[in-house]
Amino acid sequence: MGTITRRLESVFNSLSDEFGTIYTKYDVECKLRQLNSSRGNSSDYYSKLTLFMDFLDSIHVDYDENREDYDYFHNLVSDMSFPDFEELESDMLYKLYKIFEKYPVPQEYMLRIVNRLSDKEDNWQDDPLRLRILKQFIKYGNYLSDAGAGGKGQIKKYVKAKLGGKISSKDELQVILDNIDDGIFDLLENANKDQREFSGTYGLMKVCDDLASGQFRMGGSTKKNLYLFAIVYNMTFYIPDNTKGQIIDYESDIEKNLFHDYYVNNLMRFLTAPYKGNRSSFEKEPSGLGINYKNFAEMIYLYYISKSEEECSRPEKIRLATEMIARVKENGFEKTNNHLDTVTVFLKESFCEDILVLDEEKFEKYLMDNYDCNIYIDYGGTGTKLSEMQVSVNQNSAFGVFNKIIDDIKLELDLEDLADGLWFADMENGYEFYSKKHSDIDKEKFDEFMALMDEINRSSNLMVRVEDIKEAKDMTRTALIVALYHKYNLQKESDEEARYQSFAEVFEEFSVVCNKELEEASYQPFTCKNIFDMFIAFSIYAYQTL
Amino acid sequence: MIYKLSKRGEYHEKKEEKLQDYFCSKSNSRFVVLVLADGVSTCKFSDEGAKVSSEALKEILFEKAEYFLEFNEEKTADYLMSHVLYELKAYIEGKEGKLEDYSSTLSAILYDLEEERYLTFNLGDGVILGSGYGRIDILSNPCDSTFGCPVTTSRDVLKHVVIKKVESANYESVMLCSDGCWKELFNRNKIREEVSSLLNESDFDGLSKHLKTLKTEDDCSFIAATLT
Repeated sequence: MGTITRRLESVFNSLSDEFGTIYTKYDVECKLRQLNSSRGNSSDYYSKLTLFMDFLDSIHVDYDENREDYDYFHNLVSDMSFPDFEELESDMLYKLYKIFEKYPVPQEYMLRIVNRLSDKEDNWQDDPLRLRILKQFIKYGNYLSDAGAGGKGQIKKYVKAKLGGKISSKDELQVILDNIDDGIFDLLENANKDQREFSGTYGLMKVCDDLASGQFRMGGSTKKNLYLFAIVYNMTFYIPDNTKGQIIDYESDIEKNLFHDYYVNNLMRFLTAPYKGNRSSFEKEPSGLGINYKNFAEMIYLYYISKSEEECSRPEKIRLATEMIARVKENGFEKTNNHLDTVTVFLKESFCEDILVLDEEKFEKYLMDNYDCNIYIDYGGTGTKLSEMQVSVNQNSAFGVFNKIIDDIKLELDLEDLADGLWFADMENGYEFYSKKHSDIDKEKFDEFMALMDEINRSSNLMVRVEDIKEAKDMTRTALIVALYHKYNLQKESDEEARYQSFAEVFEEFSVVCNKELEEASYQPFTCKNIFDMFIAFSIYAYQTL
Repeated sequence: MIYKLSKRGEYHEKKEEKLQDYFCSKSNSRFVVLVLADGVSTCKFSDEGAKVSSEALKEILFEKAEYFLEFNEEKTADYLMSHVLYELKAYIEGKEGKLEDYSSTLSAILYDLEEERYLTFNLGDGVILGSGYGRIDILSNPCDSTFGCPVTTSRDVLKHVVIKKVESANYESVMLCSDGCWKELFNRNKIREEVSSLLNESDFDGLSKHLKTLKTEDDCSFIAATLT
């Protein structure tokens, strides 16, 4: 299938090339009538002729530029063949079917990261992905035991059983690495909930299996696992606008690889095996926030990630980060710096190279003085606790924008009138219809495609979004895009020229509208790398032109 | 003083391909212009494209230096890129191949010694550095080429051109590097120690010697100028 790069590059270009201006017989005859009506007035005729020629150029119709007579163009139009509405609609759906497979599932992004950042000398490239990650955690992260992960004992037991005897303590690590195999993950099949917890008997195996298969969990645990992953793979943290001696290394950058590519609302994950069963244990939707600069635990992880290996080894980073998080949690319950809720941008800019070079004591003090370090739902140091990754997750500015858009929409119509998401939501034709027209349609793949369309349609339903987003902490990038999408469609209803826009123009224009809000909310820009974004843009195009 | 190095990569040597990097410079008592282009290896005439693009950019930047240092970034990018493409199209007239066969990345710096300000132009995965007085700064980062590297003939090329203007500049030297070069200077995101000390002293002869000892897969090129 080619690399992720080549696949995604071709998607946008192919849709842009194939979906220029869409036109019907009615469109062309309207333009021709305008030309005909101006025949009595020479200057008006030539002005309309220029417009008519521009129109023919935009719909890629060839004509003789030296001809000016009306009869020539009338005959030209008479000889043209036009797709009817149904044909156009089915053509669009077919094109989307052809491109959907090119979008990577989370596992593919994870595999790319591991391939790029693994030490070639370890020679683990033929192992299954989850085993490679496990070995990485064992060798470079001391089994994540300093982070409180369970599993070390079970791993040793497994290898001992495999070898039928004791393991010499002198070369224990190498023996484990040489003999551990994918069978260790079979232990997860009959494990209970406690055993699968991070600190449980099989905690480490669960982490690796989740990361490898793109299973995003609730309560901030996926994010925590990703930071630990970033440490053992020696990933880098780039501070934007920092020019001092630091270059952005796209291959190892934590934000780009883990929080823009992997851990996002990638709807392709719903086509993978884990998501086809019971989804109740999965996170409904990653917020899309990426690095949360308001969260003290994330800042601690970044502090250590930004240290070189010479300054601090990977196992040391894990230990020190875990200890600092524990201290801050213990001492921080009185710190209720609520003003932080509204100053994400300030914190992102402040968290610069000057903070990262502070010694540990000063850095910890900086956090205690400036961050909300309280993990208790009710302040006071008692009662229900949050995970440290769940502190300060309110996205107030994005929530404010979302509500404003909903209010604007409600001024024009009831939300029930926007029951559907995608334009393609109520298309009735199924596999039988398309397979008759296109011999290259595979039934299984087509069923997957329709399942994906259902997911995207559900995701883009505004009523569902309004139901889900009750508080600032519920806010997600996808929800904001959905609100913007519906508002944009409403605004375009009265724009007669909009129907002549090409797909590329629609994508570009909607991107500008979206990115203004997305960037302010610290979300990733609208991108053709995300299948949800792509289908939303295509749905706008279909609404406008059909 | 201008320093240059261009070294064949082992990958291209084995395939007996021509060196596809090109650099050039122009200066007077006030302005210094450095330009570097890295031809796309899969494009048949990219070495020629790199040369034509570089020379075109060098000449226009030097000729209209004061204007570009006053224009806004968007206008500057549009003007410069239009000029480069115009020159490329004129060059290939009557020649073999189409425009895409002459593709390359393109980076440049225009430095105003008198006003101590500069403008960087970056299209593609090259890097522009400034060093001196104990600092090494990245004046322009490479593009994110994980989604394809933009080049002179890319669709919507203006979206990918990065122009930066800085009013208060204080460097002893500036340097443009191809991706094959800067990947040897950095370990992931941090500059290597041995390189750091060479750059701090503007020791580009030393840097050339160092790079020549390394086995590099890709072509490795830089052009640098000392400003003091």
